[in-house]
Amino acid sequence: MSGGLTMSGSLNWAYRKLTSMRFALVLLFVFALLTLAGTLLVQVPPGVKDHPGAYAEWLDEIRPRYGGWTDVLDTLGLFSVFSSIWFKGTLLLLSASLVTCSVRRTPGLWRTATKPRVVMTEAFFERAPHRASFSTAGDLNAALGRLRSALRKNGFTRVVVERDGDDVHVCADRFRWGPFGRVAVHLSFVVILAGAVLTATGGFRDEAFAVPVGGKKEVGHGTGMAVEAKSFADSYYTSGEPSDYASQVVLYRNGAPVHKQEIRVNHPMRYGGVTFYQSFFGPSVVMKAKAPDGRVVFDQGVPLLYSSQDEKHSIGRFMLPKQDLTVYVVSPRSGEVDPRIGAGQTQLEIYRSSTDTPVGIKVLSQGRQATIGGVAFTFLREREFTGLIVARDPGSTLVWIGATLLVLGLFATFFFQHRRVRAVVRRGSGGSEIGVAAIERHQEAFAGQFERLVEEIRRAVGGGAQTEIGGRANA
Amino acid sequence: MLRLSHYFVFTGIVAVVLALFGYVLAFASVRVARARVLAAEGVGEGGVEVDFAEVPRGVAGFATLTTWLALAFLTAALVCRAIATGHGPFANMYEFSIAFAWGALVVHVYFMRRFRQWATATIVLLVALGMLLYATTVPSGAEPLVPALQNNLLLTVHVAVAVVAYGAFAVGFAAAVLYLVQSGSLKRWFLPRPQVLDELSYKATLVGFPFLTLTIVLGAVWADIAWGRYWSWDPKETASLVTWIVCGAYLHARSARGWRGRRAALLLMLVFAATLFTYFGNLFFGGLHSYGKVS
Repeated sequence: MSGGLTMSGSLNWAYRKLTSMRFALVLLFVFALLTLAGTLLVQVPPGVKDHPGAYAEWLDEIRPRYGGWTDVLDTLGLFSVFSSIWFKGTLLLLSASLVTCSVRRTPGLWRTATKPRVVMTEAFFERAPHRASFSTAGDLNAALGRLRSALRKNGFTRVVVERDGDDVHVCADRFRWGPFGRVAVHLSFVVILAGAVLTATGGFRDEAFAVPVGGKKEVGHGTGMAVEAKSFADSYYTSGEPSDYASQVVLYRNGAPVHKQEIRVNHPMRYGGVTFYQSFFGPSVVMKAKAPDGRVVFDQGVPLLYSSQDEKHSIGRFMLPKQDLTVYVVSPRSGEVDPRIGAGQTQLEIYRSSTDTPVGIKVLSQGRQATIGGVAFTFLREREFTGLIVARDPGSTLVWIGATLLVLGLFATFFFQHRRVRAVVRRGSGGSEIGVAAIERHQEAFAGQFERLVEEIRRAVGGGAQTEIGGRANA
Repeated sequence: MLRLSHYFVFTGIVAVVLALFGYVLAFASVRVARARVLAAEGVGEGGVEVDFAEVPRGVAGFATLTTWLALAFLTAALVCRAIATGHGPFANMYEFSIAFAWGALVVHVYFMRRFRQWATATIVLLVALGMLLYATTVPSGAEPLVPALQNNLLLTVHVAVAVVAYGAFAVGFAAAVLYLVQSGSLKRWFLPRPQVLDELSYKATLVGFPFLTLTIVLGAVWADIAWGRYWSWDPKETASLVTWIVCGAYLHARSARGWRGRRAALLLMLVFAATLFTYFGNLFFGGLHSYGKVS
């Protein structure tokens, strides 16, 4: 039994925390601090943390900058803030808090919007911070009609009328659905986070998808897609700044061409949920390889994607699995001179996958052939390759839905603020008397609006009417 | 056209300086007039609110006119620049700084007309002046756009919306500064009632927050098109997120926990500091937003 009590006790505690604004503010503060840390501290490049060796190397690189703090910051996960447990935990708690608050608030908002209290006390009309009274000729109905039209002209389009004895009470609303914008905003945050989680966990993202011009490359990841690069062009302004990168590509699905497009920066290609972005470019070496039986086992461009340690060579790699060979293609980087590898030449380094010692190293001139490990390699020519980012992001749709909800909700909250005024119409000496009053949290801003409304009513009830304005509108 | 734009920037700076001068004069004249009245009536300094009606007509007219002129000149400068370059005038730090000053003036004029508050003008004009003077120190050449920026619609809308948000935070900051000054030793300067300043700063933030949100969302849309992902924790993105969170915290602290006055004003200073940090962040941290080179 006592276990049950503790359980409900801690649930109660959690509920109180999650619905407390103070707690939510603390969470926001922590969220801001962590985000700030992520801006101010160097963050580890993506992928590096997956290789312990590379990560240790990276830590040593930044050690001079942070000194003795390096390991402390590392232990706290502050070099990868946005994937740290602190950051994720904060966002999780914040989402829980947002959902709990929204669920708790919505019924109240609904009641306020749909079932207003119409009949107010005498004291309300005498003491409300914004108030005014008018006297007018004509009976109650005539006065009510004028009041109604004045309210409508000021945007108080929903008017609820209730009789209380001889008096007529009025509750008028302007933008009564505005407050639901706030619910939309808070829930949108959770929707966006859910989208971000989907982005991080689902789909795929290939940031080094290099296709040699004239060649074709499989996308993989179960898409059945392949990209053929027809051409690539990079152009520059006279200042040397780049002006355009453009690739002509053909997209294949299950072997058949399905789409043709020019991919440029700011003009990605979207097809079947997969997006192709222009990202980088570089040289590639077109190689042909023939097995001993004369069959062609390789015939395409090898993008020189990697850089040697001394940064003087560009390196590409391809594999011949049947022959158990891994082939590295090495060329001097543009502007670098290597006495061993001349202009128009490239060097092949061939390994069996199991060994560290090369099967053979050979410098080849264009058009020449060399046989290594039983395979005849020909260096056909150099071509450029175009580098694309290929991604399928199942989370982005949710993110866009959330973002739309967020923006619309905010504009509803701030620019369509719910305003409520109450009025009472009574029989008075020689006609009717109208009392108008409102309570608003943001008094100063409402004062002007209330003044305009009073002016409108004054016009509607006719000139010569007695008008008395009280409260803050007068201050 | 580019030349014309430079001239307009220059005349804009002159107008801002004159407007500043006008407002200082307005304060001084109100102060003198009040002191005379108070001395004559022999009463204490009760209501300390300044009404523009109390300012001698010439001074008031001069201050208002020069403020409008400054706005007009900067608008002309931006329009000429846009015509000359063929894209929204927001592509480097020079253009963006002028746009920042413009945004501050636009939001200020809006609030001046809407709430008849002019006391914040001095601070807003100082911010605008600072931005304009900064603009004169960075290269003003109109370089053609690098590929990532070649999206005229998003470049224009994303940054224009950002400029309004920044301008609103500048106005909120101005009101917050006056609030703090008010509660300090400068009561005799006849500033608006503290509640008015508090409310004004709140209203400005209410305008700034949705615009900042829209800036971030449009930025995400553009990033998804140009960089291949909607969010990359780029320094400028992250800094704008920090601003957004602090601003959101302010709104909640105020509406739900009743933070008013001093604490709220201090939070708004933080919001503006974060805004400046976001604005200049790309200079210190590099990242994907490093278009605004200054050297």
